[in-house]
Amino acid sequence: MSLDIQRIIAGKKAWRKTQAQLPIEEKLIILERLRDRARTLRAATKHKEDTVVDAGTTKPGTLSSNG
Amino acid sequence: MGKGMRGRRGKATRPGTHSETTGLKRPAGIIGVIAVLNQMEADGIVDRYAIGGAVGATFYLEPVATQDVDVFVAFKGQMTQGLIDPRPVFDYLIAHGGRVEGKHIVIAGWPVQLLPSTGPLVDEALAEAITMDVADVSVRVLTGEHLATIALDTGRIKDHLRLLQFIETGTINMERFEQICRKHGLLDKWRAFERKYPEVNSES
Repeated sequence: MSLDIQRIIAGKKAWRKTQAQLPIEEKLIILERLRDRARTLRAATKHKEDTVVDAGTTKPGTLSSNG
Repeated sequence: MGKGMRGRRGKATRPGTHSETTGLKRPAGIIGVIAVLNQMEADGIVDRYAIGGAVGATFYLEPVATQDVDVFVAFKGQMTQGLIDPRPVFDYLIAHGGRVEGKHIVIAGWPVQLLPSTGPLVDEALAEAITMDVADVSVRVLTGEHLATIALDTGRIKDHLRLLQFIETGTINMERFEQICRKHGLLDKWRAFERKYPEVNSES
């Protein structure tokens, strides 16, 4: 396995270019999926924050109001 | 979308076909947002709209995660004590299935942020926005050069990242970009950006 950083960067750049050249319909579908994934991650993060609230280290209500 | 359902300035769905209250089928997701915006413009509620932000940039660049759709809007002279009154727009969107959620209005499941013009740069960007087709629906999007200039002007980290992407992918005409920067007094910001990210000169 090569750790040639320049090659890795060039590969990423080429991949981004490929993504940019996709038909817009496909890109919008990707956008929808990215948003769904971000929502899932945020929900998971919120769960952790709620746990902290339960432990009494944060003012109750503060985090829930922030979503 | 059926025939005979097109608005004055673009393809739009017939009023009511996209209303959640009618129970009739309407396009989902961003295409659904675009259909409602087209209809809103065709119905004369706003003078002109164009998509900007991350969704606008997706028309030129790789898709990047975003939570909302930024829509620049030329409001129709709805002034109250010198301020733009967006109520007719919100009333229209609510009547067509939208739901207000904080600073957004949720359309077809996407939070949409309506952005009035903040000055000559956005006025110009709206005037020069281009029409594209997505899944047989017309959509007006800001040009890459204007999106890049607005990103430079806004100046948050994510905006700088977007500007770097525009440059790296060679998607924008750099001469036109600099021309817009000069016209709107943003050349100093651009020079500062070039100093901060010297690699932009090797990319462009």
